[in-house]
Amino acid sequence: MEYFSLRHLFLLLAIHNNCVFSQASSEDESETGRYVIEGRIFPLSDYQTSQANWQANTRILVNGGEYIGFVKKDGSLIVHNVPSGSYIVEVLNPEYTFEPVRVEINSKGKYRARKVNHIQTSLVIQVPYPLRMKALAKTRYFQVREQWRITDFIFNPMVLMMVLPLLLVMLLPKLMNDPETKKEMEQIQSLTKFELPEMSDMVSNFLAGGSSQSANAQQNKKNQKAKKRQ
Amino acid sequence: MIHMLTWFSTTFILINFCRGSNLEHDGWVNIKLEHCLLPSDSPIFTDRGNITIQSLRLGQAIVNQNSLTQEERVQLKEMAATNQFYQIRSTVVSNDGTENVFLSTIKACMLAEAQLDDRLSVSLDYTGRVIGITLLIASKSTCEGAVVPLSKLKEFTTSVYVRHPEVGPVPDTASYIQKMEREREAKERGEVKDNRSILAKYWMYIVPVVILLMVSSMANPEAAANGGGASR
Amino acid sequence: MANFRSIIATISITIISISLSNALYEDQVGKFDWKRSFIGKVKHARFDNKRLIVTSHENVVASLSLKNDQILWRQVMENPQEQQPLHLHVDKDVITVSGNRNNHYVRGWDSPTGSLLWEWVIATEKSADSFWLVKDDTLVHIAPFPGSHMEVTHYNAKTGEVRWKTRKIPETWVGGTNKCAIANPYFVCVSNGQLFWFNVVNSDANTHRSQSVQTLIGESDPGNLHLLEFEGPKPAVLLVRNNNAKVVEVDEETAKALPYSLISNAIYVENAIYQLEANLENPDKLIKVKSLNLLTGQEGLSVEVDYPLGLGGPYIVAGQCRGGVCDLLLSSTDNALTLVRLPEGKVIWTREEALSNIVSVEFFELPVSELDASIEKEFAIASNDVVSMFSHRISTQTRQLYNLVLSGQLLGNSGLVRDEFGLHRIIVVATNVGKLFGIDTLTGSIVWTYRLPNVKPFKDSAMMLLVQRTARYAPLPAQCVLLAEDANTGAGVSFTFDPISGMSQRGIERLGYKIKQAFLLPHEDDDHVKPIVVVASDNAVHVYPDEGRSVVQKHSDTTFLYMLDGTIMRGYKIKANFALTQVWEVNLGPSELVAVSTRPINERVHSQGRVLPDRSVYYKYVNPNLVALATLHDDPIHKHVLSVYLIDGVTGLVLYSASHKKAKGPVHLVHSENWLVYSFFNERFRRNEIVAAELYEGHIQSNSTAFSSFGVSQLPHIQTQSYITPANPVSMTVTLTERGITNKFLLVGMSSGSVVEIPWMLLQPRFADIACGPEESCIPYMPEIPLPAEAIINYNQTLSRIRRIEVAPAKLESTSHVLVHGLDLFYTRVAPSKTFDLLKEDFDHKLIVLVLSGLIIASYVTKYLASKKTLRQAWK
Repeated sequence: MEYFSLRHLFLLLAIHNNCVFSQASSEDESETGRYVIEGRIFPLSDYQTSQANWQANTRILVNGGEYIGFVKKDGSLIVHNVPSGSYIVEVLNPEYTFEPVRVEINSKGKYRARKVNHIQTSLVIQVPYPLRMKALAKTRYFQVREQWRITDFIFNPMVLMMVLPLLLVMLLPKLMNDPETKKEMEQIQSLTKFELPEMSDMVSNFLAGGSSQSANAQQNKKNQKAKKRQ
Repeated sequence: MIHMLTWFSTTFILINFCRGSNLEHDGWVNIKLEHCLLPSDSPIFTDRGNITIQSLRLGQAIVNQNSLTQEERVQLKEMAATNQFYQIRSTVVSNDGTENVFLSTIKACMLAEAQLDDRLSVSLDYTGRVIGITLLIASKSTCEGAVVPLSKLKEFTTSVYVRHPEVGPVPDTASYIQKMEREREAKERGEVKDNRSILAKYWMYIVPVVILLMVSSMANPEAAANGGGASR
Repeated sequence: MANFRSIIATISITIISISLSNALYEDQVGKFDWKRSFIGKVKHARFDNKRLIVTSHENVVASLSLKNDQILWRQVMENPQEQQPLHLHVDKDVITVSGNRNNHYVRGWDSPTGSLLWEWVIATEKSADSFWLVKDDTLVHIAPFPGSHMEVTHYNAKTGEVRWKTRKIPETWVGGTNKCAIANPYFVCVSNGQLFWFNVVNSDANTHRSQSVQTLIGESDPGNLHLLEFEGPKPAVLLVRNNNAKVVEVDEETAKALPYSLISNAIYVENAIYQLEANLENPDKLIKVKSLNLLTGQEGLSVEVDYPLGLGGPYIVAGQCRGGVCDLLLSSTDNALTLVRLPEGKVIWTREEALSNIVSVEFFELPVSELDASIEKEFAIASNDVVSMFSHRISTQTRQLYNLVLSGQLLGNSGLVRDEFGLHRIIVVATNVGKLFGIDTLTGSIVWTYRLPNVKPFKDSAMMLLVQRTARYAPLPAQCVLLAEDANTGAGVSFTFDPISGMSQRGIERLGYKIKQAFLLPHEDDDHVKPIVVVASDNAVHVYPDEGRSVVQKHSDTTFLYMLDGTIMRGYKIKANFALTQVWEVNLGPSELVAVSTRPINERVHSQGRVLPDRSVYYKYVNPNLVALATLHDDPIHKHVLSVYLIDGVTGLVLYSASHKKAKGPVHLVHSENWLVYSFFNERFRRNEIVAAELYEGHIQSNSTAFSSFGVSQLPHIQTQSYITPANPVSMTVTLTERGITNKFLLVGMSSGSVVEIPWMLLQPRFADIACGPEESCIPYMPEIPLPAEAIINYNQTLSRIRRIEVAPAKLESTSHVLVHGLDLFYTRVAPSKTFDLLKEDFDHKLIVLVLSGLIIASYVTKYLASKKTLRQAWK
């Protein structure tokens, strides 16, 4: 019965000093050419009108925040200081979803923009550069709560439980007393029986098994009574 | 070192571990095993044997281990009886001349109950460097308190397992693309079958019909019953 | 048994498949979640009429309201570890300069809305600590090279067009950051007891002026001098000598020192100088503001400030006067920001910016209410006889009933008292500056604060919050310990406190040694306190409290710990004589350790196996002692190689290791139950990947009663599977519930500022030889993990710079508490299998009552009608 427990312990000894790395990399960067990613954002028109300063709530992330950009009032975007390479440009807005774009800058400073495809990484579907980012749709963060509808209420099992027996008990006898409807019903019955005879049997046996038995019993009684009267 | 020993036993154990082998360079290592049979705050290690793994890729190991002397056997039994820990120190010399020392500890009683049948796990990193050597006893539980005669505590039978890192999995995009392709083709050929059951598809038509039938079938006897009552 | 298990498994599977689309309803927004936004420690601040424009050490530019502590707008710029705001100028527009020593971003912001007006960059070849100055619409960049020269460039502030190309001005007096200051339009330096100034804006003057400091301050020995900026009506600097400052006004010809001395933190606002002084007369109001006439130095008003007691020492950042009312913005050593209104000395608002940098989080259960506790007392007083016990019980229960009926004890208004489902908690957070906060989960309000002076986290990243006793043991208060480092000596600091009230009996205890490792023993002593074991840098073992030594001794046989020294991992055992002996060692070689993860301490594994479609059970390998590690290794061929290891913390056995070539960080590891999930960046395909690995014992369970790391009968089988994530994970964790029955969700914080929940079902490796489909309750493998917007737990509340996600179980099995921290703080609750143990919140109590009563009435009515009818029929 031994349970060897080991608790999560913090590593208190130095792993590495990050400063060394950052300095080295910044020196490298100044030597290589730096480029600018440009483009324009087109929000959906309803958003543009409802939120006057949508630009302030929109951010551009390049490679998940390695480089960042902001949106100007006219919807143009600019990301500075980007060395040559391949980047994913994302437009972040709390209300709208934008499709990310992969921008590739070669060492000569030539740009190419294409659709992001993580599954088929070699598949190239080019999109225009400077980027033209259009909002796809309003982001749906929430589930839609079911609306209260009268049909829902009526088909609610509890309501059905209350209303159906009432209907059967109160209305049917009256309906049956009326000779015309009786005839009609019989007609309908014969029709349905003609079309789906076994189905009706099955369903009635299945659903109203108990009641049909009692109905049979009643029928017997009725017959007896009829005999008595005779 | 080996020739100085008075008598030793040699065991060859071949374990082929080709499955996970992704080493780029093959190499050999020599492991010198020492153990401590007198537990104290500053343990003193004595020689236990020598293991040579000629090919890390194949995992072939040549195990040379000393037998325990009578005194050592008594010490080990004593350790087992007092629930002490048995410790080994392995010094690894690899083909590039680097030397690394590893420690490993097991319960002495488990070693005794297993009658010195132990396993040595030699873990490598992807370059083929030894990162850890762990001594193991194949047992479902810790000590059961079985009494082992001293005569059984003589020879170590050590199995050496060279354990390579596995190649990390990559997302299986190829079969997914194929699957999507197949589905697309099927769609183009119009073979998309609605595989929902009839009930799921047409329930909105079936339900009213069923209700109607139910009502009518129930109405029939009741109407008759009513009629019977009325005629009374 | 197997049957029973399979039933549970099928139930849980159906729960999952329903809950895959687990999202909030729109009307639930803010019902149990809250968000607090922060800006960090303020660096520059300017008043702009009715708002305040600030930049912070978090590289943020923001606008704050003067009326309340609201952020009007906030723009988060580049990573603050690499780039910092360097200059803030507020005129018609807001101009910020930010960057590092040789790359600078110049940005213009629209002051009311915070949208970007322009952006351009300055890249210099040589790096220097630059000075900046804006005159009209010209931005002047001064790059000093101490002892040699300075380079001055003029730009058009809006377009970046060079107005006057770089001039190299050879001046040997040019100094570094605190030896020079800007006195618009002059660049002023102090060097060798002389004050030098140079007009950097005007094109005519091309030579410097100088004057000896002695003539300015009248002291023969200039001592240690430095300069500070001072924005007066005329160009001026603050000349500071031994904490004594003087205003020195400079013009084209001469420099003139004003005839009074100040403290170094003084600012000029509308004809007066304001400075803070300690108020020794009134212990309630420790700070007073003094104003001085600029020209004469005559003392004006002196106001005692209603300064909150918990805050650190303040200094003035900025000020503004409008129509006799002056606002002063104070920042304090604990990063709090306070707006003080003069002449009343009233504090308008305080922002606790320390919360923008949280290093440790712990969730605490609240104690039971006094009333509930009094029931417990019944048994505590053993001498009582039966009658008095009975009367006590009756009286307390009547009071309970009374409370329930009359006051309608609802959540929230009942104070800090435990609720039925454990949903109301206190979150204790430790911040980087050494300030502790107790935060209420229901409202997000701060319940208490405690400032620990001169305390810093270990390695600048972590403090340890250890829960010695929870509030479960009614008369005994909860007890928590914070372990950190002394900011000056690096020695250990311990602080024991009650997490509910924030009170401490012993205060801060400075330990006389450096802490190398510390952990909480999982066993309690007689007072239900779990002892803390601290290992000093010399491997000496200390136990707190002292009474816990016997507990440690008792369990010394089963107490193992590990320590990491670079990539060398060593396992130790504590002996009964409180000495450490090394038991194993693993050397991961010349690589960088990037992530470590262990299973959450309070995690429970409910189901021991997985039921396969053929009804057999595949047992999980659940080892509580596993440590998951990830290292990155530089490789000449594959750039970087990521290695992931699962190591047993007791024996040091490497149970599993895998390597990924051409992989890059950031690496995030999550280890829970019998599985491991890690994410990294694949450089070859330039995408983020997530790998799931699951450990199984096989069809036979080796030991069902107790687990021992020493008994290794067979190595676990490992199933792995890899996926693509279309976003960049920045933090990852897993949900935790009380009993572990509820399904697990991974919570992944993305760089986009959203926290996404991913069901573990979606990641769980599929068996290669077993079909996967809806009949097996298995989701077919998809290489790319879908991240629908409905799965974002913080919906449209984007969180900036997510650092960590903390999770704690609620008493309700279905629910976990989640706290996301970074620049923002976000709390919510998640229910991975939906709240199956709670009635739906839209459950219609009225309808069920209505229907039931309707049925009862109807049955009576029909009974009456039926009897009437039979009577009538009988008469016919």
